[in-house]
Amino acid sequence: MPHAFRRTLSRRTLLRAGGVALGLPLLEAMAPRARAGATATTAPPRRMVLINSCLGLYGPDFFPTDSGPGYTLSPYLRELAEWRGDFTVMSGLSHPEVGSGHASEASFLTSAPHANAPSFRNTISVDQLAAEHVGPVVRYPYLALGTIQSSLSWTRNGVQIPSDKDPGVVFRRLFIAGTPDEVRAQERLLHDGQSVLDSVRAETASLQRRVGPDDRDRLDQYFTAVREVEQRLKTSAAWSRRPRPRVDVEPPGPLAPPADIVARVAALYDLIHLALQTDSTRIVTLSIDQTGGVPPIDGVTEGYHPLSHHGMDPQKIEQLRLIERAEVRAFGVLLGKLKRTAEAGGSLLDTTMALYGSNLGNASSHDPTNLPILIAGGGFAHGRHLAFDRRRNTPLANLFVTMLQRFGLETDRFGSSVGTLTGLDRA
Amino acid sequence: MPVPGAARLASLLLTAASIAALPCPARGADVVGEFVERHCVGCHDEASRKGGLDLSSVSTNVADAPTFATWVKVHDRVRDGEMPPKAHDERPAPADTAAMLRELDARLHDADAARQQREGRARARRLNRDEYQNSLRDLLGVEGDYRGSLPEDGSAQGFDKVGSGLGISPEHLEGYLAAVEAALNEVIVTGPPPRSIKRRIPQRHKTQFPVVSFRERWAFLFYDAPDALVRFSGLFDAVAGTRVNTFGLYRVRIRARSWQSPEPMRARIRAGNPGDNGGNGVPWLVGYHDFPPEGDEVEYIVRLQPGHAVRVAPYGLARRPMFVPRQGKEQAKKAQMKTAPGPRRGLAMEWVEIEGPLHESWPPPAYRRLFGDLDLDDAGRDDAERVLRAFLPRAFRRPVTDDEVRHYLAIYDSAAGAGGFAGPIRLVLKAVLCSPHFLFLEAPPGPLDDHALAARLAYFLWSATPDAPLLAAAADGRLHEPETLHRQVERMLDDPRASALSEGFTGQWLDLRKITATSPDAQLYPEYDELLEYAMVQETRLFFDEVLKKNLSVANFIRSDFTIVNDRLAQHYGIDGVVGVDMRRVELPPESVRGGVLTQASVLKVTANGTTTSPVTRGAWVLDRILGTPAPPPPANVPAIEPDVRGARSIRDQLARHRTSASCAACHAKIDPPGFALERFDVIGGRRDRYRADPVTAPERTQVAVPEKKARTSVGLGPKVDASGALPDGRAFRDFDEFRTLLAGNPDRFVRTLAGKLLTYATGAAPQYADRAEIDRIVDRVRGEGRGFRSLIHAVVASPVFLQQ
Repeated sequence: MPHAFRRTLSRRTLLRAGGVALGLPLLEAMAPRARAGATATTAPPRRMVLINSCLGLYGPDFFPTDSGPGYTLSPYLRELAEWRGDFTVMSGLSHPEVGSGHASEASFLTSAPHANAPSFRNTISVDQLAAEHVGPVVRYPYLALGTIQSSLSWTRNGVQIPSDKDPGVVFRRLFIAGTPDEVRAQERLLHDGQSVLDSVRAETASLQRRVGPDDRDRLDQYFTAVREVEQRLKTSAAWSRRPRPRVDVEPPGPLAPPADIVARVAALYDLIHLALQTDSTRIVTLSIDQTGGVPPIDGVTEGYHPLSHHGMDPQKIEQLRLIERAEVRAFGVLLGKLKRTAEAGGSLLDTTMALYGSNLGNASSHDPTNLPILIAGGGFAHGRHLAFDRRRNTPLANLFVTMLQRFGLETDRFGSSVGTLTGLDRA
Repeated sequence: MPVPGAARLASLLLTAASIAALPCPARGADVVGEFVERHCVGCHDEASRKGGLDLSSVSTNVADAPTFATWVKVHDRVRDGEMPPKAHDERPAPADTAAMLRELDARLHDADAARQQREGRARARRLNRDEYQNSLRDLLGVEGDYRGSLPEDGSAQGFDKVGSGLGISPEHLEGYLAAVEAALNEVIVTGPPPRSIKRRIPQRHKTQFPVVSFRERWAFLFYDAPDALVRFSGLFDAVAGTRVNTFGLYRVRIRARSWQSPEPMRARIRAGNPGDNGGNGVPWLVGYHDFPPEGDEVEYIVRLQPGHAVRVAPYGLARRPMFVPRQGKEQAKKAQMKTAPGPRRGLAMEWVEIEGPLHESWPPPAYRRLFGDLDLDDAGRDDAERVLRAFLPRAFRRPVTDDEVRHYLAIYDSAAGAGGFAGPIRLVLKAVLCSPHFLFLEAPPGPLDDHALAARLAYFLWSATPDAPLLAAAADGRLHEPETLHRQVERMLDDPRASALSEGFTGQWLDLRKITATSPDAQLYPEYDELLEYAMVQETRLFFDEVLKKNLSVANFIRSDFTIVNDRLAQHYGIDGVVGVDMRRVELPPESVRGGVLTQASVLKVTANGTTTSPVTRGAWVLDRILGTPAPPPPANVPAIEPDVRGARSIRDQLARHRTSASCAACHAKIDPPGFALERFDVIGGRRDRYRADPVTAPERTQVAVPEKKARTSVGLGPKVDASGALPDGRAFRDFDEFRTLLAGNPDRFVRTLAGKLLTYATGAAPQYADRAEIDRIVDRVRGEGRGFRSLIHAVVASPVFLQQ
């Protein structure tokens, strides 16, 4: 530990000596991290959107019954028929040993096992790992969104990153410049923040000297957080002076009621499209959850969650289909928008990997195997159903490795992966 | 049967014994090695590896954590008589078993105690969100809720008080910066007080009511009486007052009466942002009140944000609107407002008064607490030092050094160049409240010093920072003395801040925080409503408080002859003679199945999924929370049972296969029986004889009362409930009642569980092997004191487990 402390001290001295301050030009003020793919001027930027439908997707209506390139679209996938050539649907994937129940939500993008165990501690989610490599070339390395409260994004220390649910709030953050007073107040906060961090760093170091090795670890986490926030403050300070992208759309209206899951999802999809189009961010996670009663869809008389526990009641399944079909249709609208947005010789969809699926293979029994998964765009060769073994599932994390590599990371493993995903090749 | 490796094992054990047994050299021959060789390695060897355990190759170096865990498992399964298996030919003599257990226990205890001494039993941890919020409240005297700035806490070992669940990330630090900034805005105020309002709003047709969707045509929902607005339906949550513009505490008074009804009319009062559906202002329940025919006023103090308003809805009126002839919405609206709609019951709202923000004084108490009479406009460095010398020891919960004061003064100086006092002192306070000395609870291994002890007590009983008397006792160096400790615990339990214990502990031990995680299926359980949900949570929390306040035996958690209900919950439980919405203690009639937490609707709801109950889920819950012997997680390769509400197969039939497979039966023999007994109760905690089924397809139906709509509706009936079973030791029960009697027959076991949960909650570390002996002593001690809950808290606090890091 003394070693780590010295290293930090010297870094701090360096920063002081270098007089790093808020006024430095953008790129200098930012620690250049690995900017895999993202900043290379020749290669197009890579993006990812990761979506989890926490209440499952009714399997018999999601999975095609045949496989390969000529597969027959399932009822849900018929909602995406127009984009058939732009996505690959997969079956027989899951996270090994993740454990049943809604707890497995936490592991959807992390693949950490035993999510339902009392001693469970999560690991980093795939979006956060990718975000570490985006660098300060965009205003926000990632956006964590959710329709209610949950979030798919987890830090290295197993902390759930809070999500935003109100597209209006995010819209203002991305596209609306503050008044001069607000900007000044913001700059004071950033400046204050730097002083506070200096103090916290010194205090943490002195405390670290007093405690045992395990506790030192814990304080190390705080130390790391301090460094990270310091970096973020610098990035924010630099970005706060740069004009925000102008978008020619109406700001989002008020947040739809929590029961209106489809309206909430659709509004967030519109925002996601704008954020990617303006290169305000490169990575978005979206957790689709629903509370608050009956979704206002004709023919639906019960809440989404109770319906997902249909207990094989045919009437409930019928209602569940109505909700989920509308949800898939909304995803199709996003695909369409990405597809129609041109970018450097192709479309925005070509550079955006859009993962859509659920952490539950069968929500009625809380079964976390055989997850419904599809991936669209991202420059992969699509149009197929990749059917993996439904009894001995392939780790979903294999797909994450493939995606990370596509994103530009040099890595051959993530979480419980045992390789890349066979059958998903670049176009 | 000679087994290869057994001899090696025995010698290894001998070696290890001689190491682990160093402090107690008197121990005799290697009884553990002999026992394992004779009775265990026949199955648990390299070749067979029954249950995945190969005892012939397990090291005996109990200082190694996984090895230690293996030997603990061996100890416990032999102690519980589960191993060697009963079917085994050669059973060990009881005396041999006892000798082996004694020896193994001593070694495990010594090894673990040595580890605790070396490393400490609990890790450093950060404050959780509630503790952070309460600490800001007590340190600064602020009223705002700043938890929203912080990421949600993880939980480990069942509580959000354990270090491994409380990771720290950049998001936390950003959250702390934002929270402190906002909190200091409440404290560092200059200029005149913000304008307060006091407005009485007569409830006339001008009152806003939200027009949501009108699939049904307009009906008689409102009537504009001369002095009141009469409401005939609970359909709308009408805004009954103005929206406020300023954050603060408000006094809300409501006057209303029942209309055309000799009985009081019940109203639900909520506050929040009427336009924000599910945003931060999502309306929250303020309370329920019964308004009599002659009228009544009710007053609440609520904390409101800009844009928030108060909303009132009648409870217990038919929701079905009375249809009016098809016509334009506007005409219909007018028609229904002006026409007295016959002899229907209603709630006549006379007026709503809203007053605030309430300022006790100006500058507010928070300012005075920090700055006294200081005028921020001409304060200087000396004042900053005075403020710091008073504030730092409170924030850090201990005396501070001159160096520490200087550190913060330097921050003041660095910002003071720009002039002013408010700016620099704000920066310094921010740095203090982001300091690890404030955010982390840590102490070196070994006995806690008095200041660390004060912090542990305060975060245990209040989830908040120590107050002045506690810090004073610590400063005197007498806090650890038994009488002082006892006196402080008494004082703290009587303090309103102790509500954090009942909220935090019942919220997690009994999972009350998950009460809204699922919503009951509306077709199967049409009678469920928000008032019932509110009452069931209140019941459990107030029951906990009652047992604690009166130092009743904790055996009441298993079986009690009283509970706490209001009329809604009493109706749910089939208890007669309870009138009114207020919760009160009632003695249970002898024929009632209720009594004890396992019969409380809240617990029964959080252990079900809203549609069905699963004996496995509930059984595993009872094993963990009540019996203290959690079942291992389900094997990953076995699919969960698919619930089927069509009524063809009962869950019991589906579970039957567990009993036929030996590998499943080992755990399910323990998990299923409590779950079977609890089948007597449905997903909302109602007592049932038949399962409910889809009302359309079910062969039989019955009517249930739906109090919220003052109506009856039909539900389908499925198969009969069978709540019988047998404990793993063979004792059978015919129904829940008999199961509970068996459970109540071993109160010590429950005391041990509860002591373990309390220790986890209090120290941030689940009971460890070396704590077992201490927990036994706690159990012994409270047995002599009628197993009173307060006595148990005292015994926990006085135990060395609590008093050390």
